[in-house]
Amino acid sequence: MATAIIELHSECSAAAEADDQRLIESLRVGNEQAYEELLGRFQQPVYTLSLRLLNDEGEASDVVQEVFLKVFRNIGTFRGQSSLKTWIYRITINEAHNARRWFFRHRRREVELDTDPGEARSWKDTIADGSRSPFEVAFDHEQATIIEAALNRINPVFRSAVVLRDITDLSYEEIADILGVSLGTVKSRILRGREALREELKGDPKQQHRWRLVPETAE
Amino acid sequence: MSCHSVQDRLSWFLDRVLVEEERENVASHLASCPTCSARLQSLEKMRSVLKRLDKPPVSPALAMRLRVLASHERQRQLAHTSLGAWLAYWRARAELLFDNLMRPMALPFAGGLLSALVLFAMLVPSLSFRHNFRDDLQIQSMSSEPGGRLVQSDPADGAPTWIWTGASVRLDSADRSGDGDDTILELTIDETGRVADYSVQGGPLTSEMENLILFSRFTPATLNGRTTSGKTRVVFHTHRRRNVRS
Repeated sequence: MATAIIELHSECSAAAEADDQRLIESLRVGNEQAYEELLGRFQQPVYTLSLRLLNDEGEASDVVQEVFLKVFRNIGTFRGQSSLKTWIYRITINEAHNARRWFFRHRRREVELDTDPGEARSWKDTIADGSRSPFEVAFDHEQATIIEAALNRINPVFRSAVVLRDITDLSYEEIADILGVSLGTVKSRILRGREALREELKGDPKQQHRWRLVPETAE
Repeated sequence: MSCHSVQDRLSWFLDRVLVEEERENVASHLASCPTCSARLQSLEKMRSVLKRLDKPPVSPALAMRLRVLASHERQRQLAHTSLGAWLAYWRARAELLFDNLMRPMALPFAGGLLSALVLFAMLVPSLSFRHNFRDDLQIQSMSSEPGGRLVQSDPADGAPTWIWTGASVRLDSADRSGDGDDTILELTIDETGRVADYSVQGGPLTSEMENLILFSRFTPATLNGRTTSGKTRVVFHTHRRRNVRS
């Protein structure tokens, strides 16, 4: 059984590699469909990753553009040492890091008029759909707001590891490849990132109260 | 295993990256320890919330910008495939650059040109130098020495408007006070110093006068340094030619 699963996994991996290779070759010859396909496959994950790392829609949009510009310009020199996804995510992490550094150098003294990102959501993001009760929607929204704020407060090095693992759902090996660190370092960063997140969630009395109140209400 | 070492491994336990033996040890500890079990539940819950975080869709504006970016980069990529494509790419870029450069300048440029034309058209009449001085210079009462310079001034303010030197001829010094017996030969000298026209007043045209008209070369008049036509007057006394008046 285990052997069958391993074989299936290796077959999927080989198929994904072949697909990546085909896409890369098409991009190199300037195939219009290939450009469309690349954007279709990666623009949403790259945007989500950037947004979770930076917590700012404008910054994330800029990073996404920079990422795809680098991908298009450097696809000719990409030698396939890692998967296309890993390569693009690595560029995203580096660009987000540069953007954050630039932000702290130049814009940290600016004061935003809208200081609560939760209030900036449109009605489409918060309105209940037919399958879930308003309580569930409000509960999830509340939790998401709290955890987003906590995520934004932890060390960016640990945040990158946690986001790649828990939001982007990558394996430890892929994360190690993207961040350019050893597997042990990835394990350590994920562990410490989650611990930091847990500490953030219970550190603020107000948030601690809200965080603990919800399961009791749900029960 | 102690609670401390188990709690250090809970994150990896959750991600299934522990080796089999460690995993079994942690699992057996969790079965008997409510504190570590609650910690694992808390971690699981936090992880599930992270997984369920909203994935805000890419805005239409950003999607459009990415498509434009892809299109530009594709054109750029294609430009490197052959020399013809490369030339076409750079020609298109040059045309676009020129167009972008000229478009904002078109209105100011046209306005400036139009203003200059209107201004020029208004000033042209006062700037005209094509004035016929020939009639004005006829028999001027004021004159200078032959070959001398005459500065004509505007009567209104006295500032010189043009500088004119009269045509001259080298002749013997003459007595300027002519009398009634004098024959006056009035010559029109062209730009090259030859006689273009003549008229005789007060006597017949003698052979001496004809020789003068036909064979003499005069120093032409100048206007602001350029040779121009002018008139000169030669006075013949009864027996000798005397003077030249310009």
